[in-house]
Amino acid sequence: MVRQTDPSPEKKVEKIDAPLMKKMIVAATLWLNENQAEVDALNVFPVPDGDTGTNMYLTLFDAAKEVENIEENEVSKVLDAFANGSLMGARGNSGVILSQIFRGFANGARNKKHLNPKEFSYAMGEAAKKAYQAVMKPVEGTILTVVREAANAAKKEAEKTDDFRQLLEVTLLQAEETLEKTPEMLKVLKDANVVDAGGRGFCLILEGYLRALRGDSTLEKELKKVAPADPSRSVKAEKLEYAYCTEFLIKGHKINLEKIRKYLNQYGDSMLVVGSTEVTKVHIHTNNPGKVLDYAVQYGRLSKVKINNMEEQIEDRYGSIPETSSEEEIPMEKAFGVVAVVAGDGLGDIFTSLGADELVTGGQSMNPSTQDLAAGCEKIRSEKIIILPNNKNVIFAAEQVKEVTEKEIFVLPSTSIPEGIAAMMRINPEEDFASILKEMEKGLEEIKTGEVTFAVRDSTVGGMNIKEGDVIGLSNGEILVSNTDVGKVTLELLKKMVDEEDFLITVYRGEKISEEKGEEIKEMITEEFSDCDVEMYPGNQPLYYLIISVE
Amino acid sequence: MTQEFQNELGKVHISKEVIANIAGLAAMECYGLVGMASKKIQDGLAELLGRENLSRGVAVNSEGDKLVIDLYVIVEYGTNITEVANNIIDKVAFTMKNILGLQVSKINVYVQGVRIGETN
Repeated sequence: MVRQTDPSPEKKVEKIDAPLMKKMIVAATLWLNENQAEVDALNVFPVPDGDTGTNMYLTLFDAAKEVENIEENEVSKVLDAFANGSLMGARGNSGVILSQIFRGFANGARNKKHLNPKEFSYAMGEAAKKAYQAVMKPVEGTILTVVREAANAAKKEAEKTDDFRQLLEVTLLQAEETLEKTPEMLKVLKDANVVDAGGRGFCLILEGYLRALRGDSTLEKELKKVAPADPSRSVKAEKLEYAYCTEFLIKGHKINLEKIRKYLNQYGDSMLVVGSTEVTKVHIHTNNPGKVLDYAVQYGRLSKVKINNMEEQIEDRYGSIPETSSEEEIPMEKAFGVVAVVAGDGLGDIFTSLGADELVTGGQSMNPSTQDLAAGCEKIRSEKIIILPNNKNVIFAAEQVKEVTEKEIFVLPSTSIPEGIAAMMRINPEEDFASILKEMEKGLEEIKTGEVTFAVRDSTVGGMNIKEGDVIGLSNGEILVSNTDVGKVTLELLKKMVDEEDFLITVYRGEKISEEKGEEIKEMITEEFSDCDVEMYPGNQPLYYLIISVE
Repeated sequence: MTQEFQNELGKVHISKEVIANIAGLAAMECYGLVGMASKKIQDGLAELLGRENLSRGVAVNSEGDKLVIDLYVIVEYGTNITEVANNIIDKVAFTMKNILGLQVSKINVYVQGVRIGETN
């Protein structure tokens, strides 16, 4: 007999049972995790900020987590859990599509204890159908096309082979071939010279499955080792009031449910006493499971007794629980505190010198999580905290901090470093808090932001042909100039930004620009814009050669 | 009423109908959305509207210089509705900015119905 749970390379895999399916799902999750950055990079806009890979991975991680936690030996049950997990965990457009694909697959495998290749390919067909169903105008050249073509290939191949390795190999090949054609089907992809990110993600999932079948042991890690740092799940690990979830049935007769409820209420919360006078189910969160059982046993025989330590469960998910520390002596409280999001130690120093209390590392393509931001807020001894996100993609995470902390949070929606600095400069500690906020907000508006960075791939924007590695100049997020030389781009960009009323140009030089090169650029700017003062500071920020503010 | 811009040579007016159409089209590209619903809630019926009718499921209001867009949608059963709605908001905001150069101050998504597809 072939041992299904341990497929070695020489042996055929003729059926997929529950343990193998689980293994495949975990492998796919890990494989996607390893290649997440590559999928993210397949963005159709040539600035580093994609997130399809991350969204797909977060969705798959939640789904796989659900699968890891069930003890089932029917493959249909595993697939159901997988589909449910992906539904709950869906992130972004690509995540919602994935959840539909998995739901379709689970429906196609309904009531199956295990799957043979024909059944598997049938389920894939259902997955493709389901995926197409939930959109008004399906766009070809996306993950939808890749799934459909892969399902067709699987169907054909299932007629010829009884070996899953063969089946998945052919399916994956077709998926990859279709993926290569996506730029021909969708113009935005062709313009950006990339393949579809969602489709690539789907190929990685198939590849993960195949790797599990071939016995790739590098994909057998436990999931929690790769748990994502995820803003929306930043539940603080708190000390629980009641630690044990206690559940059992009482089998007796003439059980008085009301009386049990009243009595047990003193021992905990989340209590549920339901059922009939013959069979009663009790559920309670308590610190004294013994006493609860002791009391219940007088009403009859106890069965299906289950006691779980919920603190352990939380530790598994969120890391260790902080010990309830004794109240430390709290020094004088500040009227308010400021948390600023920055990348680069030079920029950090600037914010600190202007009075920021805590810095959280982050910026383009490395957004901090809500938890990181909340941790920063908690460190400050003040009940009022102003957050400067300094990037449009961080504003949402910053808003979320309100949900997880008891402090009063004010998010000043600064979308760039210069905006954040302009806001900081306007703080006058003599004023009251409301006026300070108002002043800071004004600071955001009075400044123009320019950024000089590099394109992450070939692309066409606004009639400009941009090659990978080209230097591009952005003003308020829009690409205005591209060239191969940092100095030239900077000058061209400034020409488009500076108008007669401007008097100050401040340049923050990134980690890739040396001091000499910086001085050179500064001189060029001074020469060109003789009406303005030019200042240069070492920002040491990654990705951006220069960040410029004009006011 | 229309949305206006001005530059040194003249004015640009964009009618609400245009904004509504573009918002509707953008929303329809979102996965999980299977139709727009008539915004006449008093009908008691969330009728599925075809593409030619798409601006009927969209209400555009301006309060001062602020633009508020309400979308009345029907979502496929079995998708994560909050996530689909979030995606719609992101997509419409992005499209408004990208195509029309309009900053929308609020986008509200009203899920008026779920459609249960054939394979459920």
